[in-house]
Amino acid sequence: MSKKTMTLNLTEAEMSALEALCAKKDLSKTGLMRQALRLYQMIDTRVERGGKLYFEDDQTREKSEIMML
Amino acid sequence: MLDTIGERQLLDWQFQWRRTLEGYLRRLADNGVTRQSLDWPQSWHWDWRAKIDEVRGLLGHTGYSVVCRDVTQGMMRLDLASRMARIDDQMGKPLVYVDYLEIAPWNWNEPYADPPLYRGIGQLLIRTAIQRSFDEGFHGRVGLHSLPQAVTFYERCGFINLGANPNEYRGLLPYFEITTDRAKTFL
Repeated sequence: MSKKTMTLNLTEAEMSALEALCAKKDLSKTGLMRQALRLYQMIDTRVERGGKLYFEDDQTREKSEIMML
Repeated sequence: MLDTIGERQLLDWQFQWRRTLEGYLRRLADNGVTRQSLDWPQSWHWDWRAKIDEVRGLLGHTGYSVVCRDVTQGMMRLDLASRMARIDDQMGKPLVYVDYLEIAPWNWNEPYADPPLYRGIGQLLIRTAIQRSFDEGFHGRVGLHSLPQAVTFYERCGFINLGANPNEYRGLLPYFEITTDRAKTFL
């Protein structure tokens, strides 16, 4: 599969968050961005189909909806 | 091994797998095996066309199929994005999650079935999932929920059984995960 290269301009804070997530998830920067894109596309598609995105508290079962605008 | 589940595979499923499956289910019924029995195939109702349509165009999902003598012998759908590892040592890290894995009914090694035409198709698909995990930078981590009938197969592959969660799949399907070391051993 052919691959394309791009330059990403990030602020200091964004780069720090990216590096922290890479360390936490044991992924390269490319790997992390790829995962982020896959997830974002999946969520966007599901929401477009009429789905809703929730976080549910494991203990209380309380749900909070994430609004995708 | 094809890194896709294409229209040809879906036609094989629709016209060849299902015809063989219907014959097998009739044979089970003739031998007094009911739908509630442990011998009744637990994937009998799977609709591969619907499963593929559901994720068509999504970057986070992919499929593989094994083709031999121009006929599809097994298929697997993977989720690369939305599941995280659960075993303590790799908790929260990304993994390849096997959404569905099935082999053609004529390859089943089950009571009342004819001897399998090909063996090792399931192992070949699991090997592919593990290899994909390494290729993605997930270090071989793979997770899945197993049908009860397939538990022994995944244990033999080196997966660790973390048990069933009552909040997932009505608590009926145990969750399995393989670690990097075990994945390397399997390969």
